[in-house]
Amino acid sequence: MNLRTECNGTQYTAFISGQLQYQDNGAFRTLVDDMTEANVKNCVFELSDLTSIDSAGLGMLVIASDAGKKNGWALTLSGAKGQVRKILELSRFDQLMTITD
Amino acid sequence: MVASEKAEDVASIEDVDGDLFEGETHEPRSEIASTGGEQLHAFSLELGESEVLGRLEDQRSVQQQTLEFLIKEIGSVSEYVEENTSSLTERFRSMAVASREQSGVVDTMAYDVQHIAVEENDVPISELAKDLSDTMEDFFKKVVFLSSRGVKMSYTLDDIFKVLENMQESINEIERINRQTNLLALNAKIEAARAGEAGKGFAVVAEEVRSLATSVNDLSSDLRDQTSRVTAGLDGGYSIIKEIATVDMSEDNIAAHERLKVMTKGFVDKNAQLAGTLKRSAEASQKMEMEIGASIVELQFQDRAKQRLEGVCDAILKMLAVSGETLPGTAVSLEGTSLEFRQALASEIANIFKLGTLKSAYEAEFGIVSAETASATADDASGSDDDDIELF
Repeated sequence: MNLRTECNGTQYTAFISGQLQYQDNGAFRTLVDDMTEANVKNCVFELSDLTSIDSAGLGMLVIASDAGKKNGWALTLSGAKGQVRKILELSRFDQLMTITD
Repeated sequence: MVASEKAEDVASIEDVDGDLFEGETHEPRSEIASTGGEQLHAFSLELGESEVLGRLEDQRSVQQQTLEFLIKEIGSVSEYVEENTSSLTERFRSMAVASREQSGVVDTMAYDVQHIAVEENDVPISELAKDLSDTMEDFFKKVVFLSSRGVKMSYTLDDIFKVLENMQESINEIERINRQTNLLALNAKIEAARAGEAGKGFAVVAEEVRSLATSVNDLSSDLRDQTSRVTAGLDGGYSIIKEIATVDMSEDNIAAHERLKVMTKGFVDKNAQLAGTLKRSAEASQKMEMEIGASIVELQFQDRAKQRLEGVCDAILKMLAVSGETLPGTAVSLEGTSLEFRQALASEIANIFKLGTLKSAYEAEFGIVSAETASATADDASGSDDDDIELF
């Protein structure tokens, strides 16, 4: 996972690229903690350049969503393409969080 | 009057005969009615009074015999039609039964192809496909849930690792303090030796402290060993959790699911199409059954036709009875009657019949064996005669 973040005071955006897999769980945990500390209502995972994701990656997205619900911020997944988009549709992530193009 | 009619007839007969041999089958009724005969032409038209009576009697006799022949013929045709109609009705009945069975079989098939037995219940295939799809989605959701729990578990392990690191730090600190204690005990021992006799007691204390420090050292290295073993054990757990949390969700695996979805949809669509075809087939069979039923009803025309023909025959018989009363038994008593004339007249009438067998039967009634009939009978075998009707 390659990560770049932006925070404009109302929205925290994390640009996640490359592959999201189990090895990234440490960095991802830190990211989720940072999002909670940023104290904003909206957090966005920008996934345009994410090439692949495995079930652990999906599990991390679920953990992020749970953390948002617990700490009062909403999670949006944006710009997923190819395999990532298919797997999100297949696992019905649209029932868990907001997904935009 | 009779004479002039005959003369006209002779002229028209040749035309009619000419038409006949060209294979014409439906002359206008009026022409048939006015047909006289070549043979009749041979008989004299100049007749005395008694001869006229004889001629009239001849005509009446031929008429009577002809009508009797026709009644017989009508009767046998009616019977023929009745036989065939009843056999037709039977055939139609069995067709209707077969058609009903067929529509039943097709209905059953239409149901069978749309359902599948699941634990003694018939489940529509369309539902089965939905179930399959739902199950797949459910499976994916569970995998994702399991993975998220796995990742959470690894977070917990990370926290434990941190605690273990802290413990390691603490052990290091204990060992550092212990080394210092050991050093202090050694210094105390040296100082006690320098003090001589007065420091003897202190030397004992210093020795005890050094011995304590050694024990603490043993304990701390024991603790370090155990902490290392816990860390190694947790490392193993960490990789197990990684295996649990990581399910391959590469393009190939998704493609497999997509293919399954497409195949299932194709199967369900094809199934619906087949069911539709079978339904149409069942409807066609039902329509056929109805049509056959209607045909059976229509075949009852034969019964009405028979009754009407019987009426016609009864009327002819009554007519014969009446004319018999007018001239009772004159055939024998009258002079001037002629077998030749009667046969000639009968031959002319015989020409009306286009069906060879009918003509022969009629001629036999009058004891006529005409050359034409004989050759026609002979030709029947080769099938080249003009009796087209018989050929079917």
